[in-house]
Amino acid sequence: MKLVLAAALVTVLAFAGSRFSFLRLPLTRLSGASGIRNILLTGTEFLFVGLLLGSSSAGVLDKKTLTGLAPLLGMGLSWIGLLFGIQWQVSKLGDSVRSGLKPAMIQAAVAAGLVAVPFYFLFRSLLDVSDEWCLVGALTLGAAASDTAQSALALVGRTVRGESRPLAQLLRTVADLDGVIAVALIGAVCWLPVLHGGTGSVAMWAAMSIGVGVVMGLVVVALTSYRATEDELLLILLGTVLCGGGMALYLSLSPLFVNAVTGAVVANFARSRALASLQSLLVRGDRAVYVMFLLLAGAQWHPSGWSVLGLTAAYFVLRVAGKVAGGWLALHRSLPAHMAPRVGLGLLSHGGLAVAVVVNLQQIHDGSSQVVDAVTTIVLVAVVVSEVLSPTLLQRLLGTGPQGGTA
Amino acid sequence: MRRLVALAALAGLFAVTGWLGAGPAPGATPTLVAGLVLLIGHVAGHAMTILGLPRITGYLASGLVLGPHVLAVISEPVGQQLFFLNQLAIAFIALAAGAELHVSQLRARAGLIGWLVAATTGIVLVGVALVVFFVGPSMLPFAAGLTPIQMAAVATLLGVIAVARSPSSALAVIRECDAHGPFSETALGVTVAIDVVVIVLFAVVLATCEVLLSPGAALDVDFALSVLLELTAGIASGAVIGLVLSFYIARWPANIALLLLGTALVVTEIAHGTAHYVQATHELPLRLEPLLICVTAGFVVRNVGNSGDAFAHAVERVSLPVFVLFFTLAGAALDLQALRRTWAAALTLVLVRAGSILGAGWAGAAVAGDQSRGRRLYGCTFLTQAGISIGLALEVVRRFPEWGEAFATVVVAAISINQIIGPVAMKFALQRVGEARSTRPAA
Repeated sequence: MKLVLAAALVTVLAFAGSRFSFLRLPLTRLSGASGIRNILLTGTEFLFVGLLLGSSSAGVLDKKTLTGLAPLLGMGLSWIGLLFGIQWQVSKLGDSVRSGLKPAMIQAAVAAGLVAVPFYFLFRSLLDVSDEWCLVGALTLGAAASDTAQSALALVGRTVRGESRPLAQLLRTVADLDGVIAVALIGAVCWLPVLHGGTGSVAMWAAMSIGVGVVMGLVVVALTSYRATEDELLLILLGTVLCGGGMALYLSLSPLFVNAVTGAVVANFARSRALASLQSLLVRGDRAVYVMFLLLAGAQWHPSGWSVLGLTAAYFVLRVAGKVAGGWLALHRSLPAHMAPRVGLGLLSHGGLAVAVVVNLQQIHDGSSQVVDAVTTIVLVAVVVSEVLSPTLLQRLLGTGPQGGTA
Repeated sequence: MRRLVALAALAGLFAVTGWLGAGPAPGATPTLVAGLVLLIGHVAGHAMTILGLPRITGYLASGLVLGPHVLAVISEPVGQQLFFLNQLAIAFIALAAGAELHVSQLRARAGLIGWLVAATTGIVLVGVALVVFFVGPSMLPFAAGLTPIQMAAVATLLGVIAVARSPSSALAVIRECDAHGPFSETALGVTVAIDVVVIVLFAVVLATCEVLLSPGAALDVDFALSVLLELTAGIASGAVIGLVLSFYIARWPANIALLLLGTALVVTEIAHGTAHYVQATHELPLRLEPLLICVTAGFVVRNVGNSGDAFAHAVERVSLPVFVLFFTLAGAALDLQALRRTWAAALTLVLVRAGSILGAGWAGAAVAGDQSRGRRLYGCTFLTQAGISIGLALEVVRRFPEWGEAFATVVVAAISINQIIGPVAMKFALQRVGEARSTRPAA
C-alpha cells in the first residue's frame, strides 16, 4: 500500500514539478535574487522536498519504500543516459560542436582531476574504508565535478548583449559537451572490481558495459527499422530504457554510461524518422524524470553531519579551482587575455548530471561504505550552493545583470 | 527477420547477464524483466499478426513462455514485485474503456445493448448451469460426493462466472484493429455493462447458495448490503474523479498521460485500502472495484465537459505499453498446472460457454430487431474472460472452503483457454464486419 501511494506521490510531484519549474516562472517576480530564482527555475528545491519526505525526516519515503521504487530510479538513470547519448549523431555535429569539443573535454578533465586526486588522499586519511572505496568516492566526485549544468546559462543567457554573446555561446557549447567526461568517468568507476565483490577485471567490466550498450542499441535499431507508430516507438523506448537500465544495475554497471552508449549507437545507425521521434519522446519526459530524480535523491540522502561540511567546502573550492584552471587551459588561446583567467567562473553551474552520478553510485553500492553517504552529501550541498552562486558569477563574467538591463 | 535477430540478441544478452550473476542493486531484476516483457511482447505481437492472429495472443504467449512454468524469467517472486504494475495497468485500461463509451452513440443503441446484455446473461447462466448440473458429477473431479442441492449451487455459481467478460481484452483488440463503428462500440458497451451485472448477480446467487447449503443459515443481508454499497460507492467515486479530471484537463491539457497513470495508481490503492479498512473495522466484505471506479471516471471525462477528446488521445498514446505489460504478465500467470489437472472439465465448460454466448449474441440481436451485418457475430466478441472472474472464483473459495479450491481450479483453467481463444474470435468478428482498419473501405 505504502509503496504504491509513495509511487503515486512521486508521480504527482514529478508531474507538478515538471509543470511549474524549469524556466516557467515569471522572471520579473524574483528579480534581484537570481540565485534563489535559479534554484526554483531548475527544480533544485525538489531535493529538499525529497529530504523532507525521506527517512531522515517525515519517513514517507523510507528505506523499504525507496527499495521498492528503485526501478523508477533505474529507469530515470537510463532515460538521462539515453537522452545524452542519442544527441551524438556524428554526421549532424555542427562546426561549433566540433570546435568546442576539445576545450570542453580539457576543462572537464582538469576539473575532474583537481577534485578526484586530492579527495582520494582526503578520504584515505579521514575515512575508515579501504583504498578501493576511497578511489570509488574520489572518482565519483571527479565525475560530478566535471559537468557543467545549463541552468545558469539559460537564465543569464537571456540578458546577454553585444560583445559578450560569442562568449555566452562558447560557454553554452562547452556546457553541452563536457558531460561526456562525467558519464565516461562514472562508467569507469563501475568497472572497478570492488563494486563487483572483487570479481572480474576492469577490462572485463568495461567490455560488458560497452557490449550491453552496443547490443541494446542494435536491438533498438533493428526494432525501429520497420515503420512504427508513435505508441510503438514509446513501447520500444520504455522497453529499452528498462531493459538496459535493469541489465546495468543487475551487473552493478552504470545505467548512465550503458544507455549513453545505446543512445550513441541509435543516433548513428537508426533511421532518421525513428530517431527524430525517439529524441522527441525522450525530451518530452525529461523534466518529469529529472524532478523525480531530485525527489528520490533527496529522499535517499542521509546528511552525514557537520564533519562532512568541511569536505563539502573543500569540494566546492577544488571544483572552482578546477573549472578556472581548466577553462583557462582550454580557452586562453581563443579568448582575450583579460577574460581567459575568469572564464571558468562561467562554468560553475552544477545540477542534473551531477545528481545522476551520485544516484548511480547509491544504486549499485552494497550499503557498507560510508563513502557513499559522504559523496552524496558533498555533491548535493555543492549543487545547491553552486546554483545559488553561479548566476551571479556568470553575470559578472558576461557583464550583464540588473545593471545591464534585460533583453 | 530483423525482429527475430533483435530477439535473439536480447536472449543472448540476458543469458550472459544471468550467468554473471546479480549485484546488490535493489530492484534490478524487476526493472530488467519489465523491459524484456515490453520488448519481447512487442516482437511476439508482430509475429502473431503475420499469422493473422491478434497481437494480444502474442503477448499472452510470450508471457506463458517467460512465465514460471516454462523459462521462469518471470518467476513467482519477480511476478509479485511486478504485481503493482499489473494493478496499475488494470485501472488504466478501465479508464481507457470508459473513454471509449460515447453516451450519444450508446443512447442510439440502448435497445440493442439492453437485449444483448439480457440474452447473454440469461442464456449463458442457464445454459452453463444446466449442463454442469446434469453432466457435472461425471465431469468435475470434486463433484462426486455432492448432494443435488450442492450440485445446483455449484452449477449456478459456474453459470454466473461464465457470464463475466474481459473489458481489457476487448479494448486491446479494438485498439489493435483500430476498429470504429457501431458493432465495436456495441460490443464494448455490452462487455462493460455485463461486468456490473455480474457483480450484482454473483452477490445474489452467492447469498442464496449459502442459505441452501448451510441448513438453518439465514439470508446474508450484510453481504447484499455491502454489494449495494460497493456498486454505489464505486460509481459515485468514479464520477467524482471523472469530474475532477475533466476540470483539470480542460484547464491544463499537458502531460495528461502521466496524470492518468498517477490517478490509476491512487484509485487502485485507495480502493484496496478502503476494503481492508472496512473489513477490519466493520467486518464487511466490501470490495471497491478499481475497474468500476475507473470505467466510470473515464466515461465521465469522455462525456462531460469538453476535455473528452484530449483525454481519449492521451490514453491512446500510452495504452500500448500498458497492454503489452498487462497481457504478458497475465500470460505468465496462466496456471498450466491447473489446466493439466482439469483440462477435460475446463474444455467442456469453455465449449458450453462459447456455444451459449454465440447463441445468445444471435438471439439478443434478433429480438432487438438488429439488421446489421454483424448481427450473427456479436457472440464472437463476448468470449474473452479474465480478471473479475478470478476474483469471483476466489470469493467462492472463501465462502465454501470444502469444495471451493477445486471449483476455482476448474474456473482458472477455463479462463486460461478463454484468454487465448477470446481475442482471436473477437478480431475475426471485427474483420468480418468490416470495422477493423484493415477491412474498412477507404474514406
